[in-house]
Amino acid sequence: MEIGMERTLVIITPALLYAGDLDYRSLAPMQVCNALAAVGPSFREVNIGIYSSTIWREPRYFGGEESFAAAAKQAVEDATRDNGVGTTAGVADGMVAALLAACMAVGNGTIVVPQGETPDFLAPLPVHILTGCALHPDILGIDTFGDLARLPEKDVLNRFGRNILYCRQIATGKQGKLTPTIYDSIMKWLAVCLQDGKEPFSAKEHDPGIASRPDGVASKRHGIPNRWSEPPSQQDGQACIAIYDVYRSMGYGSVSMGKLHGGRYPAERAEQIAWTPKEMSSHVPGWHEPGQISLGKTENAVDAGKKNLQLDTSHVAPPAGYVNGQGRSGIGFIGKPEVWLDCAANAGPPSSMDMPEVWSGYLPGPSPVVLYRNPTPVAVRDRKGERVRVYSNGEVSGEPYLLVIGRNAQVWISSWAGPWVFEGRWWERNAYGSHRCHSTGACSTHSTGNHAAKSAGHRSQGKYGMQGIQSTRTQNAYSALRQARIQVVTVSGIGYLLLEEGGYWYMEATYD
Amino acid sequence: MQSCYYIEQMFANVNSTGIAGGSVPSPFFIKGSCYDNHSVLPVIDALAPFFPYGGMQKGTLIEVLSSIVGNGACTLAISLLAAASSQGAWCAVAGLTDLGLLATCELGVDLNRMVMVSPPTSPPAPASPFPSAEFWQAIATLLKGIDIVLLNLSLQDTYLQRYIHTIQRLAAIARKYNSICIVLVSGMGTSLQGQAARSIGASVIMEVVSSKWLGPSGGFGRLHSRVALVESTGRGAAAHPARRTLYLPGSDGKVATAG
Repeated sequence: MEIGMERTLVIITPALLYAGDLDYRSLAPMQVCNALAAVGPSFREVNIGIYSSTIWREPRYFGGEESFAAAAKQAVEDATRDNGVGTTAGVADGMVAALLAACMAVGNGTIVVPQGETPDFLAPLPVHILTGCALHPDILGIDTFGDLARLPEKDVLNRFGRNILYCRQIATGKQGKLTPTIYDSIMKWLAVCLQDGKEPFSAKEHDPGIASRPDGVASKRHGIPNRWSEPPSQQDGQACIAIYDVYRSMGYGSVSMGKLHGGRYPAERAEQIAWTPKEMSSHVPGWHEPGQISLGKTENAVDAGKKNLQLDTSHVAPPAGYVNGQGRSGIGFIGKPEVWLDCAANAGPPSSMDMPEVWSGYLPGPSPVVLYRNPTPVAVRDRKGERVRVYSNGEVSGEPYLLVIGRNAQVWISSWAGPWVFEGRWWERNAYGSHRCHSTGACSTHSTGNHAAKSAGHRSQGKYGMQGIQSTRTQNAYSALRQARIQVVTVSGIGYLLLEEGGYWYMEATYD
Repeated sequence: MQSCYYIEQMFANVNSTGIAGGSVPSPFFIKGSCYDNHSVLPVIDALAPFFPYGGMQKGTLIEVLSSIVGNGACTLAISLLAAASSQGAWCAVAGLTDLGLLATCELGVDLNRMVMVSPPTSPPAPASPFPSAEFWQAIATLLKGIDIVLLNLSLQDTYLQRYIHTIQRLAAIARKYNSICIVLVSGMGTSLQGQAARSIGASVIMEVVSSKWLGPSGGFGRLHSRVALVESTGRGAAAHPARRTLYLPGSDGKVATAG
């Protein structure tokens, strides 16, 4: 399979994408990510209102790609309380085709493009969607992706350059990665198509004024200016230039941004992504990264919008044979893992604040503010000085009493909660073996021969020199399928999130 | 000191060309007037009483202190970014390598308008607690284009003493470019040991005096919310001390007034 042509699911929520309520926009994405995490582990937030997941093995669990897409769509609708604008889903080879499929499914639909049929799916679509104003069909006679795909590759490169060649690669199913410029072009086209509730490709007439301003949709619907769809401001430009200057002086990896995606615990639900100059293209008008493929030869999408260039929305019906129907309400086997945590059944009166809650499948909030990239190995002991273990049924061997951090630091635990047990899901790629190495100041040396196991993807364990506890190497990769987390509060009032994995404890986060 | 030398160089370049380092296209650094003393960036309602103008005054230095690490100073500092970020202001967090992004989002910060800056280090090597010269230079650059820069300087007081003059120069850059610099000093020790932290010259100094987690009990419940006593003082209009009890955070992950 070509790189970038993995099977991809894209969910679009216009209700969120064009929402004018800023508070809603700041909170809803997290709820959507939470909802999607219950469906699959690989969901990412492309932008507010657009979510994608590389499809791995999940459809086998749900009974097919259509069911998987419908479950994800339903989860998003439940989370956003969809107000009727319509959440859509698209499945295709590669991100670009999946995004276009989701755009075309407007009207509470799901479009699934079978594997290998992406070129056929794209063939009737107008090529303007990706190229903006770069090609002039009236002059060249290149209207659709099919027309572009039929051109010889060498001639396309010589005649139009690399940018259009990239579009041809998309049209022929050889490339599917989404670049910022293509994303902007598709979003502009989607905004035009959504105005007045018209479906994509069916809008015969459109207002050039609104066509040049994607925020016109939001303004028209809500009467509130939507700053998210506005062209980048001078403030954005200043910020990005400052960031770029830091990036140049400190190097790759020094500047990062946050991204939310699916997961069940804080380390899984958000990650830092290294900032690259590609980010500039979305915030700085006229910016072109050196060497970056930009589709407009002389102007990018923002400039095109300023000049009121119209996008063609001529009618093209979705190709026959693709699923385009109402989303299914069935969630599948793991759609809503609701289990009541019955505190009363565990022989202990819950306080008024500890009322039984629905176990949502996630570690409950509030989330820790300090989340260690490399969790620190610790030791947790009970009153008898013995190691605390978490059994498979979620019970602990003893009440956590002492927390040993590093070689000598010991802090007493005043209260604790948990454990929250996370069983690894069989489709998770990283579930079959952790690379974590249990070595600390309390660990005098690594066990001999562990590095070979580590490189093979198995867990390698050290031994507690200070504690005199000889750890055993865990060669059974399947043991990494289960993790348990507990929250502890020390006598000094500091809250920690501790992770138990394979019998060993790590300090994963601090509630600073 | 070397770090001061870099800041001085930055000043020299700015004064001569008006551009950071003389290498950045000039149209992007057209800044507003830095003498608009009462222009403020908003803060969430629970934190507004700590600021004389109801928000963070542009061009100022704000300091967030705590005597021990882990009692809520980091939450307090991040929550200062929330309201401004959700209204379009850009934020940068420097020196907080292990920032929990989910909590940041829960506190109300827009992740699309926040960047994190830290010296790139290989994973096995822990980051040095002492900022390098390049790091200071990066902070100075950020202050010219980013609205709010949160700088984590969780050092012991004796080490912090070395950087007071550098921080004061950063404050001058913030004043010149109408940006806000928030300095987080967590784990400075007792009040007597925190003299260096208090002598930076911040306009508003906020301190988490004490805090207590509510919720967990013998394996039941969860970390539900933290009640913290926060005090503030400062210079000028902020000199009048303020004291509030806050949920830092509450059960919904947001900072709110307690009681």
